[in-house]
Amino acid sequence: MDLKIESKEVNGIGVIVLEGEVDVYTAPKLKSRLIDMVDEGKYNIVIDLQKVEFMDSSGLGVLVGGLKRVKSHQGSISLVITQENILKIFRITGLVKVFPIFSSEEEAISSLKG
Amino acid sequence: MDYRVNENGQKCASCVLYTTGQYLEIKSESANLARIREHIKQIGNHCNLNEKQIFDIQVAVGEATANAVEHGSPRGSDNCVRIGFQCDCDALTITVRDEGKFRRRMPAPDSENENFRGRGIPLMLALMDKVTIDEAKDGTCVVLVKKIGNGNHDKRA
Repeated sequence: MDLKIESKEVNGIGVIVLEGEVDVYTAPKLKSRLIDMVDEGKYNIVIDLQKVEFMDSSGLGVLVGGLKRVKSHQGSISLVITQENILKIFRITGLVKVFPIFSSEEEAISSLKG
Repeated sequence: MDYRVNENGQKCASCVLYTTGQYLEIKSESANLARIREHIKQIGNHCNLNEKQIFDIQVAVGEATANAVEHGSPRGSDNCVRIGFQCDCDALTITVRDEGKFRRRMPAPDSENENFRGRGIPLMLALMDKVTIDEAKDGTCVVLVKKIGNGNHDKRA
């Protein structure tokens, strides 16, 4: 399965919706989209992982890299994760303490509108 | 992708897998990772593993294989990665064998480490019951063991 990436803007917040599998092969697509979004001036970003069926450490690395980029512009990245398997990967690697994680896109967007 | 089974091997008493001699050989390309995950799903179904167990194995084997593709293949896609499967009723053992040296693949201490590859080993350790890394002159072999129940391959929560 490939990785589908949709992006949109909601009230000034950049939203990336992922569907499929994020691994070494597909993660560069996500990295590229994140870089594009930051280049467009969107520094507060929601990444919706609800339809992600698989993620490995390369996917995590792209998210951490994206966070570094937006933080250099005083921005932030919030995640939407509802699948226990995906949450487990974030718990094991300690990233639940790095990213704000929400159970819906609306909650994540609200967190960034502050 | 080549899948071979040693028909002379002994079969697991609880499933259709063999206790030795079945392996998948792939060209060392990251594009093959999804097919490996699909193959693990089939193996997991053979062993009556639940979705959580299959996911754990997919992530751990994925990390080992991605490492082999990125760092254990000095000739790029001319190298192969061999993934062996064996089942002995109590545990599913997966070996990921490459043609490189393990010491090359640790991230440099001062690197930005944006690819986060350094988290692959902690993920393997957390998701599997036993992980060993055997380094030899002709390659590295990561051995991943997942306990799968009481000999009946029952579906566990």
